[in-house]
Amino acid sequence: MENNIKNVIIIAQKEFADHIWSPRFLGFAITFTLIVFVFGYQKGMEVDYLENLLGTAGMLRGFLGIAKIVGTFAPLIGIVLGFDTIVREVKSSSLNVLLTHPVFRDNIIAGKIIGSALCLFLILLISITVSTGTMLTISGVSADGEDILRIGIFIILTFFYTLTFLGIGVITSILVKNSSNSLVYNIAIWLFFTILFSQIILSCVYTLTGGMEGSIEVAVGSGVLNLSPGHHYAQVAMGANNVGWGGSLGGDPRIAGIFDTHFTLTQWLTEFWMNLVVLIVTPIILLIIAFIAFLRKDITR
Amino acid sequence: MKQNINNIFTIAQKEFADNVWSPRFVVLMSIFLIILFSYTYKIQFGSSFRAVVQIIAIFAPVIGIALGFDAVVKEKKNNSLNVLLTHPVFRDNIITGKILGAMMTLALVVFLAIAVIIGTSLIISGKLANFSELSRLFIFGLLTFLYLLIFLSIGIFTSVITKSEIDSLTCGIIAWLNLCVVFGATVMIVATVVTGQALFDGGNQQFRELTYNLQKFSPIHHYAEATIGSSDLSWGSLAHHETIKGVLDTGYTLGEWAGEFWENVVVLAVISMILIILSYLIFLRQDITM
Repeated sequence: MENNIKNVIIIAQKEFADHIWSPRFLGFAITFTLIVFVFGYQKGMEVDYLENLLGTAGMLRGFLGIAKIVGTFAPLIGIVLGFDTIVREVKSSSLNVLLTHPVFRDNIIAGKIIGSALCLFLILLISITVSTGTMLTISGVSADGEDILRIGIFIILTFFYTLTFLGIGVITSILVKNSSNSLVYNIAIWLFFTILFSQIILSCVYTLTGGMEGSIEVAVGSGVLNLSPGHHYAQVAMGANNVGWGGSLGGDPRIAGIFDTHFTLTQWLTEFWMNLVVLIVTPIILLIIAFIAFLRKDITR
Repeated sequence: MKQNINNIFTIAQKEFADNVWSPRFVVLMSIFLIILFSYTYKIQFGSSFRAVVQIIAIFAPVIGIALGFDAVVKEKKNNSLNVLLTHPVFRDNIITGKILGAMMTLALVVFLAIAVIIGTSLIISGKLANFSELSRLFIFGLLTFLYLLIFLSIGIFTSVITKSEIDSLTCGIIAWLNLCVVFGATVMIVATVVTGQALFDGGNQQFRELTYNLQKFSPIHHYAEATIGSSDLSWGSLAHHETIKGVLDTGYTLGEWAGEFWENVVVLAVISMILIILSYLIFLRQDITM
């Protein structure tokens, strides 16, 4: 058992180091941080305008804007960390060599997932701190201890959300024959579930009901949105029904997500506990599927 | 000469067939056409055609990149390029054939996209399009082709200069995210920092001018100008609207449209030509051993 844990930790360390020094990962991480910084800056100016010139509360709006951008683009980091986890090792035949040593398949996949998850957490911590910090600095609004606690919870929520895409990436990397196909499929999944999903559902509702009136209620009431990880993330982070492109599908009538300071964290938890459970359970299920698929996989090229 | 042309067409046919039957192309294409249908369908409920153009401008470049990113590097990696060059086929035949095959696939994408737009519009309005509207949609299709050709060229260029397909695709996707998705928001921040004026400030003329000038560095600006007369279509951008609302504005003749936007059309055509010429030059002098 102790030996197994050691193996897992060594593989996780190697995976973490591989990611951190990989130009490919750094390229995506810098792009993502730039995106959230730019929108954090923009939201900071908006909050400054609302709070200092119009005299209305704009802080919540600023945080919701950041949550929308993070919710849209953070899955890319999960995808980049997961898409070639296994297929790269299979293609280079290093998996065969590795398995001639006293290292088991479950050690390998557990180590790889833990290494990637640590890397994911680090990037989210840096980029979300940068974006919220930029927004607060530019707007000149001060954050108290509770705001910082809520930002911390937001980072953890985003971590579970992106872990779902890491899980999808790892499964794809087990199932496909080459890395580039895996990346293209993952990008297609990201576009479909995160950016376009709500729009596609709305279009189906328009087509079936023949009108726009009440279409959002029908789309939300149908429960199809529950299939998208973006919906559960949008609920807990913004109280909204979607993170995607092409307009809002409405949201929770009471609490505008984790940043709504009109409500306590207990009230937030009571309102969104189901979404929170789904957000945490989905990546766990995906990672179990990845484990099972990898343990039974023929690893010859 | 005739033999060279034959070689090019054979390679182009092979590339076209490979692309069209590739599952990843089918997946991306299907998602793109579904979303295009849904946005066009929404027009009857008050949505504008701008939203359709925006979805093309932001998401279709992924298809362009997906068609080009492994054109050359795939052949180098599996050593088929070495084998191919032992036959009487020259390097320029190979890259020309590959570019031509990818361009044919891209033309198919644009044709299907325009067919979906026209078909959906016919279904929802019940009116037959007249010649003038069809000719304008044809020009819109040509502009879309030129715009997507830029991303295909980026894909081919990265496939020539990188050592693996994944590095090539990564470069392409990073270029797409920066040039199409968040370019408008990024240049606004640059303009704010340089001029010291912000979007919400009164009398921010300098900021607006600099933002408009910086937007010209992205292909999406030139596509947006020529198609809908707007200076940008990327996410969170500040758009300046022209008097002529692009090629589909029937209030102006095509001559007036060309007089106003010829520079944008030239830029769209020239960027891809430069990238393709660079890819040629590099590939012809490249060591192809891996």
